[in-house]
Amino acid sequence: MTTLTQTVFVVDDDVAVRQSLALLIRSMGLAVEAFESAHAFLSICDPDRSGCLVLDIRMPGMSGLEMQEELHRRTIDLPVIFITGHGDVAMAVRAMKLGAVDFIEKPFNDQQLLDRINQALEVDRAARTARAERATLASRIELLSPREREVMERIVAGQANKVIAIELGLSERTVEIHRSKVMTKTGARSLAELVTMVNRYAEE
Amino acid sequence: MSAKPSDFDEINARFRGVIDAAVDGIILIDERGVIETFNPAAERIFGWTAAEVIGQNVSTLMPEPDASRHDGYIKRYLSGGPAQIIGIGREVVGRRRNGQLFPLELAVGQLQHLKPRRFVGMVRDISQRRAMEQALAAREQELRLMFDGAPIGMFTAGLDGLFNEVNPALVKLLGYSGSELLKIRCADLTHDGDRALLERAYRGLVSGTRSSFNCRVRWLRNDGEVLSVELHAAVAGGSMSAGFIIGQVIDHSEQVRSELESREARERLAHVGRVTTLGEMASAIAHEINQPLTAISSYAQVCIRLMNQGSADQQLLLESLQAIAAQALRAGDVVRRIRGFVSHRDGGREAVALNEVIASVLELAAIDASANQAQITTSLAAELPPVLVDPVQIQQVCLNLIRNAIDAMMELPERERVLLIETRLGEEGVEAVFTDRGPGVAAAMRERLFQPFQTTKVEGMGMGLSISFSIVSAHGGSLRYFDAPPAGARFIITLPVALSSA
Repeated sequence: MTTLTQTVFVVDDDVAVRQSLALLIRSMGLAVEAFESAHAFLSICDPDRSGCLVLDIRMPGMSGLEMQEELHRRTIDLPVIFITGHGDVAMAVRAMKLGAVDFIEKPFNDQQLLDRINQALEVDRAARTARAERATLASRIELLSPREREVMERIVAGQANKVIAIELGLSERTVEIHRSKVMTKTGARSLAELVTMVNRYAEE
Repeated sequence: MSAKPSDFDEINARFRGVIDAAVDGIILIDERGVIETFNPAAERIFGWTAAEVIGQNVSTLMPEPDASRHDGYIKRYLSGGPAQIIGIGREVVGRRRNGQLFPLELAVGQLQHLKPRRFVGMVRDISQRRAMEQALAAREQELRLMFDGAPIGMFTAGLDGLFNEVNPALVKLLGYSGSELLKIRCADLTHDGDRALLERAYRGLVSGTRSSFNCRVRWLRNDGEVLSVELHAAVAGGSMSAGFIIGQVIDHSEQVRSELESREARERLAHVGRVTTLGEMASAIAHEINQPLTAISSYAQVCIRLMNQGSADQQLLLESLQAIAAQALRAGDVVRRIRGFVSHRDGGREAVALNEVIASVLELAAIDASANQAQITTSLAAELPPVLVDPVQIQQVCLNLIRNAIDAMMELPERERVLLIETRLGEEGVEAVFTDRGPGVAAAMRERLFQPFQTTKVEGMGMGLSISFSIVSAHGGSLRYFDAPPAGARFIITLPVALSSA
């Protein structure tokens, strides 16, 4: 899979906060890259890199919130932990609505910070795994012929072979052959597994 | 003494001449009081001719009751009574021919060698002298009334500085009794801080290098209260040979007190304004202090982790500790800036460069600007003359204008939130100009802009501009508003140039 190394991306315009935070995260044994502005991060960001963002909510130029919106536009969905100061509750609420994982108030407690970062990294790992599974699934489903797909949809909807045969104007035997191909091509080992796969695929 | 008749005649004629030429009236009477001789001076004084009064009783020349008693006076004297007038002389009242009474000085002698005895009266009309004396007395009375009734303190003092005379106003002002004051010198009343000044001025009078002086000094009342008085002292008669000094004392204590009180009130208000401004900036200030605290906390936790891990990375440990120290100073610096701004100070004015005042306020304003993603640009003129101001108060006015400008620009996109601060030399003094790009001040608001409780801000008290206005006015300067096309507000502070110290 693609999630071998995860990186914590720190974006904060205050040099002291940025450097100390990066050092602290590194001392926790995590890979860190620090940026002084949203633009600096956006110019290098790569959708394939796994990790999370630790983002100052107040920054000149592009604020943390604006950067979050920009990431959405670029369909980069790295989990975001916002760094907030006292009195930034309203902004933090808005950030959470936009899908931030969490926010942490300055100054940080290192254990809390570590917990939140680990959580965010886990979210990213899970999301990437899920995306990878969906991609595998999609590629398998694409192997099906149009007729096989029709049969599959009806199987998943719970129709018996006989009913499917009548509705599609096929013999019951032909339906059985299609059904077997569907199971082979998707790799599903049972009807239940197939239902799960198709539902997950349909979520896309 | 014997003389031949011819000699006698000559003596008599000479004597006659002396009598006729005498300035004083000379009147000879016999023992009955009948006039025998009446010289021309007597004629002038009494208005009678000699021919008219010779043979008349001398009482004709007197008013009652002396006129009817005069014969009695003579008899009493002749019968051995004590002399009331003879050989003594006194002031009596005479009566002129027209009935007018007048004061005259009368000396009476008796011519004992003549038989029967004669009396000679020498009279001098002193009505003119008396009129002058009365005019002088009246004048003195007037002066006395002025002295005693004057609302200001007045005194005369000798060369030694001791009071000779003090008027009731001065007695009341100083709280000593009049007799106590007469044992006191001006210098004894004077506050230690002003004594040298007063003594120098006084020596100038005594030595004659000046004829008067005027100075403001502090005097101490009997009860210890400090008075601020204006003392005017002059040498009487314009020269020290006259030997005394006339002084006038005007009490300005009340005025000084009320000036002080209004200054204190203004300072209290200004202090409230500073605290309010800082309150409005609280969130920005908290952020500014929180930044270094965050860095300190993070570096410290790095150190703890390194040490827990038994890491031998001394270099990293050292760098982290150095960073902690630097960030602690950074936090302290924010606190220092705020404390300097909010402190109670007693309004000390100093000649300073306005550019420096603005530079120091920018340290504080930068906190607010960065918290609100606004920029402050400056264009400060070089080599401006100094202004005489209380730097903290002028900082306050500047900070208030900067905060208003930033607030006014919050609806703009971040990159347009630009405040320009300029300094320059104007016609009426040194100017600081604050131009923002906000919406400016609505026409309806403009007239009341500098009055208290006028605000368009939801959280504002509406005191900022009114306090700023009163601060600048108290410095003898002005605070004015202008539109800054195409959009924006422009406030101009004008402060008078400090006069070079004399």
